[in-house]
Amino acid sequence: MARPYRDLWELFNLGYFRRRPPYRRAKRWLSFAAAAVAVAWVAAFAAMKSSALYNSGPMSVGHTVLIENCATCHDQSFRRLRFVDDNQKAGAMNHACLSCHANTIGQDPDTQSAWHQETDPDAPAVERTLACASCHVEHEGFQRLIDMNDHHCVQCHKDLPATIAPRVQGDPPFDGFISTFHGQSTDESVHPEFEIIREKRPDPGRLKFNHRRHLAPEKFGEADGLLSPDGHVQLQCDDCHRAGESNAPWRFARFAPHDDRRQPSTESEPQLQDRYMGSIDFATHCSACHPLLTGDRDDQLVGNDMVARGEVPHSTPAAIRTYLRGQLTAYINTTPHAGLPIPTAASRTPLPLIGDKPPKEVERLKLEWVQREIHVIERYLYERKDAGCLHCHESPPTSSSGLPEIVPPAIPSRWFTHATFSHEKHKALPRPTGATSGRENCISCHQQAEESIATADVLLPGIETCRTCHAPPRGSGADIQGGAAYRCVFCHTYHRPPPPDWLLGGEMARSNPTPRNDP
Amino acid sequence: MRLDRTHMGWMLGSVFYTAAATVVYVVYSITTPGGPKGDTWVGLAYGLIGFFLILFAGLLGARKKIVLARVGSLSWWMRGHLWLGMLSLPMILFHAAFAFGGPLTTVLMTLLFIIVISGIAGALLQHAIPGVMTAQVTEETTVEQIDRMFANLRREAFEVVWTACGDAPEADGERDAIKELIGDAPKKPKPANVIKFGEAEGQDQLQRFYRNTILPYLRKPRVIGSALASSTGATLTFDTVVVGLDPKLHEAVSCLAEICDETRQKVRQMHLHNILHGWLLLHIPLSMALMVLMVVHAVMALYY
Repeated sequence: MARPYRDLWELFNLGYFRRRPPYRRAKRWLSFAAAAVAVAWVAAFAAMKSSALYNSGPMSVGHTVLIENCATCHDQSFRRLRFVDDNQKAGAMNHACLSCHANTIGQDPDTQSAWHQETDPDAPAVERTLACASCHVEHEGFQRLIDMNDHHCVQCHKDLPATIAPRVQGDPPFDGFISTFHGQSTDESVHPEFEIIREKRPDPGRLKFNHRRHLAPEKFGEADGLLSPDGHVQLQCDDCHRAGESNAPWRFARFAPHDDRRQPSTESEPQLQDRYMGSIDFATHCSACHPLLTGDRDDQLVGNDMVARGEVPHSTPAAIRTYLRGQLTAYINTTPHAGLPIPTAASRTPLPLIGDKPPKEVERLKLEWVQREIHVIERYLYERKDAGCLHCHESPPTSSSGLPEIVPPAIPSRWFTHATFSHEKHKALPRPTGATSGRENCISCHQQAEESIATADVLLPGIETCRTCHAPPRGSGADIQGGAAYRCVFCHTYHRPPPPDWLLGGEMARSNPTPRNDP
Repeated sequence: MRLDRTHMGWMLGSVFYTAAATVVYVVYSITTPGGPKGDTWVGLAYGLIGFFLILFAGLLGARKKIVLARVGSLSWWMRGHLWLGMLSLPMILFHAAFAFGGPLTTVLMTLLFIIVISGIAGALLQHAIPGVMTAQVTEETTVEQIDRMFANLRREAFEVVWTACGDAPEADGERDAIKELIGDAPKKPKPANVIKFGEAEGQDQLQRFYRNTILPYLRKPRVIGSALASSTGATLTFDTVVVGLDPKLHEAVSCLAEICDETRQKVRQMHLHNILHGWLLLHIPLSMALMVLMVVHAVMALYY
C-alpha cells in the first residue's frame, strides 16, 4: 500500500501570494509603529515646549535649571552654518554667558571674552575672541564648570614659545612648556620652582629685619626672650603676621587700636585681602619695643594723643620736623625758665639768655634755639647707625632738602603675583608632631624663618613644600601624603576680577573696563 | 545571503575606510583644543558620512520593492547594505566622540548599536542556516504553504488509516476539519486497495493509535510533548505499535511514519525560517525609528 497520490495543484494553495504571510505583516506593522512612536516622542516634547530632548549631554550643576530651554544659551540658530571657524562659532555664545556672568568676571568689552591670553591688539575683535565654551565645556556631565581640567591650560602652556612667541620681543617672560604641577621641577613639562627662588632674587623689602633675632632670642644671650616694656617675651609669628579675621589683640601695639587692624593687601583686589598676610605696621607691630626716642627730652616733647612723651611720631622726616617745631616752640614759649640760664644735658641746646632783650630779639633767639634743637634731635634720629630710624630703615645720602630720605620698606604683601594663595585655608593644616604653638605650624612651611638674619632672605617655601600635599595621593594608611588639589586653576585664576564699578552693571562701567593685566 | 568571495571587495573597502577614518580621528582628537566634538567640521563630516551610509543601508528596502529597477542587482545592494551599514557605526562613534550625549542622541546611539548588532547576527544566520536547512529538511517547501501541507498530511494519514482498516477512522470531526482547511475532504480509497475490516488482526489497534497518538500530533505539530515530535520518539513509537499488527498493516504503519516524519520536517523548517527571519522584526522597525530620529537630530543639532 502506497501513500495516496495527489497532483501538485491539489497539494498547494495556488493563490498564496495574494495574502502577505504573518511575519511579513508583522514586519510592516512594527515598522510603522516604531516610526510612529519616534514621531510621537518628538511631538510630545514639542507640545510641552521643551527642548530637553535635544540636549547633547547632561548639564552642569549651575545650568540644570536651563535644561528645558536650550535657547537661553543657544540663542542664535544655525551657528555652525554661519561661522566657519569653530572658535568663532563657540564665541558667538559668549554674550549669552555674559548676560548672567558679566558682573562676576572681568571681560574685554570688544571681544566679550576674558582678559588672559596675549593677543594681537591690532587684530579684529572677532579674531581675538576666545569662546567661554572652549574651556567651560557644557553638556559633559553634572559637574561644576569652574572645575577646569588642566588640559585647557596645557593646550597653550605646554608650548608657549610656539603659541605666542611670535608676538613677544626678546626673551619670552614665561616658562614655556608646563603641562603638570607635580613631578620633578627639573623636568621641562613640570611646573618650575617659584621664580624668586629659582632666580635667587633677594627679598625686595628694604626694611632691615632679623627674623632669627626676633624669633630665637636665646641665641643672642637672651634666654628668657626679648625685652619688651612688659618684660621678657617670646615672639610668635602671628604677633606680626596675620591673615583673615582674628579677635586676638596685637601684643605690641601702641597708639593703634588693639584689635585686628590690617591694611588691605592689594588695592586692586580687595576681595583677596583675607587670603594674604596683612601689611606690617609700625604702630601695631613694632612701637612697643622700638619707641622713637629723642634722648632725655620728656619735658620738651610732651607728646599728644598719638605720640608718647619724649618721642617723635613714626612718619616722614618732614612730618617729624613739623612735629618737633611745634613741640619745641610750645616748650620755649611756656617754660617758666625761659630767660634764665638753666643747666642742660650735654646733648641739649642751652636755652637762650633772653634777659631784657627787645621782643624781636627774643623771638629771633627762640627761633634759633628751636632750629638748633631740631638739628640736634634729627642728628640723634638719623645719624646713629645702630639706633634711631636707621636701625630699621635705609636712607641714601642726605638730599638737597636737608632732610634724609627714608627708603620705603616695600615689604611685599603678595608674593605670588600670578597666582593666589590663602593663608586662611592653610591655617587648618595639622600642626607638626610636638608643636605647641602656631609658630611651629608656620615654621613647618617657612622653615628658613628662624634662621634668617638678613632682609634679603626669601622666606617663601619652595614649590616642593607645596607638592608635599598638592600632588596625587601616595603611600597608605597613616603615611599617606598628597591628595590636595593640584590643578592649574587651583592657584592660577584665569579671569581677572572686575573692577568694583562693574558690579553696578552700568554702561559707564562697561565703557571703562579694567586694564589688561594677566593674573 | 552567504558570505562568500563576492564580499571580499566590500569587506576590504570597509576595513580600509574604517582604518583611514580612525587615523583621521586620532589626529583630529589630539590636535583639537577641548577634544573632539560632533559640531566641529570634522565631527560633522563624520556625522554626514554616517548619515548617508545609514541612508544607503535603508534604501535596500526600497530597492527590494522595485524588483525590475536597473540600479544594481539585489545582491549588490545586499552586500552594500551589510558592509556600509557596519561602516556607519565607527563613523557615528567618531562623530559623537564616543559619547552618548543627551536623550535623543542616547536613543539614536542605542538604536544604532542594536541595529548593527542584529544585522551582523542576521548576516551570520543567513550564511549558516541555509546549509542547516538543506541538511535537516529534505522535504523543504515554500514556507507560505506549510500550513496547507500540514492539512494535506492530515488528509493523507486519514486516507491511509481508512484504506488499512476498511472504514473511515472514527476521528472527532477530522473529515470536516480537513475539508474546511483545504476545501477537499479525504477521498474514499479504491476498493481494490482496501483491507476490509476484520481481514487483518490489529485494525482496531491501528485505529486507536491513529486517534490517540497520530491525530493529536498532526493537528498540533508545533506543540512540544508528543512522542512523535522527535524522530527517536517516533521510531520507538511506531516500532512498538507495529509488533502487535498483522503484516498486512505494516505498510500502512510505514506510511503513517513517513507522514509524521514529513510533518516534523515542516515544523523544523518553520523553526529555521523563524530564526532566519525573526531578527528582522527587530532590525527593520528599529531602523525605521532610527531614520526618523536621525533626521530630527540632524536638523535640531544644526539649529542649536
